Amino acid sequence: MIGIDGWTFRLTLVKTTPLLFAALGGLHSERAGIANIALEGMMLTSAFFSVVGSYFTGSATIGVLLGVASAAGLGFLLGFLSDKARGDQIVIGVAINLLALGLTGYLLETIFGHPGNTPPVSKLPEIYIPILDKWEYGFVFSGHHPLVYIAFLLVPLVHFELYHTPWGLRLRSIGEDPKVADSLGVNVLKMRLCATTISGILAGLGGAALSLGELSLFAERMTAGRGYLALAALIFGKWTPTGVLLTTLFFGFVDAWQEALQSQFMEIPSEFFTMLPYLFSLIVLVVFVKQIKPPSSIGKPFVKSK
Amino acid sequence: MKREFAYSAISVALGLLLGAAFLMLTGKDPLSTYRWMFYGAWGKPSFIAETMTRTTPLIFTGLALMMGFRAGVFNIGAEGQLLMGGITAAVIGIYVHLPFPIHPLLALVTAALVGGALGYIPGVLKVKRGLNEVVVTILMNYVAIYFTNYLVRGPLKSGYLPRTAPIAESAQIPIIFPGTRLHAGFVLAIFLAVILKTVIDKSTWGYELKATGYNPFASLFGGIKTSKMVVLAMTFSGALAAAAGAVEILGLHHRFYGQFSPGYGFDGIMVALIGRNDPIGVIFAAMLLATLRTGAGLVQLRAGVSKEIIWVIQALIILFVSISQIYDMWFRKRGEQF
Repeated sequence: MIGIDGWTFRLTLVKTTPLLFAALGGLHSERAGIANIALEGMMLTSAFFSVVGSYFTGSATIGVLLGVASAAGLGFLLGFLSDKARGDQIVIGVAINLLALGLTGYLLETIFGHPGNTPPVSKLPEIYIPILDKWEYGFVFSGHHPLVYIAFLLVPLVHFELYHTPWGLRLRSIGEDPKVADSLGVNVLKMRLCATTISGILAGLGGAALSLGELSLFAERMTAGRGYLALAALIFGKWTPTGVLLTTLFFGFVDAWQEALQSQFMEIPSEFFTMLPYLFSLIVLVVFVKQIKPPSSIGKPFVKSK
Repeated sequence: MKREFAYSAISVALGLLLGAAFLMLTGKDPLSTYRWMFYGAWGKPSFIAETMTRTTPLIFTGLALMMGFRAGVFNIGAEGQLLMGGITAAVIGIYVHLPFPIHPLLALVTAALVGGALGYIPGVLKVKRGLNEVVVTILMNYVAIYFTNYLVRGPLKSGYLPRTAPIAESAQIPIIFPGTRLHAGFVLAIFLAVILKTVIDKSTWGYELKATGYNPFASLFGGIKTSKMVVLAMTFSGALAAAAGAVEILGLHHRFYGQFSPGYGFDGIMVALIGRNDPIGVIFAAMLLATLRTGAGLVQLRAGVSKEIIWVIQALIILFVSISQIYDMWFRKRGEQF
């Protein structure tokens, strides 16, 4: 097809990384029964604080840690307000996204003195895999920033966590029926809080991958709906790690492809191509997803019976 | 109901308070910030007219979200519907030639039909396929944003800037206060809110809508076609959101450009929640948000605070609104004690 070569596949891996992190994050909170529309805000906040950390310390690693910590805070907030304050999870998610938008916009102007974007900062290093470099298409897989490798390695890890550990079993059970889990002695509230915090951490890694991996600066609203795409990927992927891997790879590919098309058809306004990943995901939703069954308790606050 | 409005007032107060703390934390003066904000929105007749101008689309989108919430669905796609409504109105305003009252009316109605269709689709997907309307409408938002931006940079572009040609004078919604930007769309918004208030509170349809949102299972057993109500609510919601965009183009901007909405569709969520899903409450909530928006200009200019602060305050208010149930528990507990 037009515009597809080895570089498109290389870019696919780069574009998939933030989505994969965020979707795996969403998987944790939604499997525990907490709808997580706040992935977008978590990514954006982390993308910003990663750059702030890197800017002030000169270390991209410290940047990532700061970014992840900020997103973890939002994850904790989501869990806390959903259960302790029994708020509507979607509304809380919307509020967190608004907060992320305002906070990053306000602090960007207050810290760096002007709106728009930050100056470039030190980004994550590129890691080359010597064996792959000898192969003709090695460049597709080698020379990425570390978060790319971590994202893909996380897929089997999360699979193992979910299906082969007691924690994973409990996580799935509280998403399906928290009352039963509670009666069997699982501390539902604590687990849900852990799950949303983990989802913040993972979405935060996604945000950092965007601002310190793919780029080396923060621009206002730079996540541009990737958190929502990740959420869609989570649904197509039927809330499983392997499903999520496939769907985010698909989105990542469409995104990489549209960038290639953009540079090939300069006479067509770029927005037309930028629209494609969202349009494709809508079409996939409408055409291929027949009947979906989210975790049963999603969206409902858990109230421990006395 | 009265207690609910009190909770909204508390949330707004808490949001402003925490916003003040945040301002202090970043080394700014909250008092002067809020003073300039209030002055910038209500300090002069011309400022008030500007605040009313910005209230107009917020009432429309607030009513749009309210329609959804009443039936228990979340039309987060209002922003996209608004953009599509705006571009539809612009196209009819530019390319169709009609005399005055019919021209804007046709543009408005066509826009509402387009928006209605955009609400109908996720509504049907929800009841037939179980697809979450939140995810579907968010994706539709991005398609609408990029699609309209593509149109004004491509096929509909006029001149050097990415925007359409101006609409015909016969398509404009007239200004009601000469010398300001306040147009008849404001009156229309208030009128619509009052009509909706009557319909929702007094008609069977309004009752069925409420019942569907409150308890879909009981409603189903009670003989209400809940799926139909959900689709209907989404359709009306989409139509109202699109009308917001159309009114902005026909009454205020007189041409379509990509950034004409600073997120009015998303603000509709807040307006509906703060207004407690009551049409009259929506009017007041819309005025509150418009105050933040209009006042933001002077906040940046005079108080030397980034106008992005209003987003932080908005988010804090909505966070407090979202946990209103806590006030309920708190008040009840106190009530028991005394």
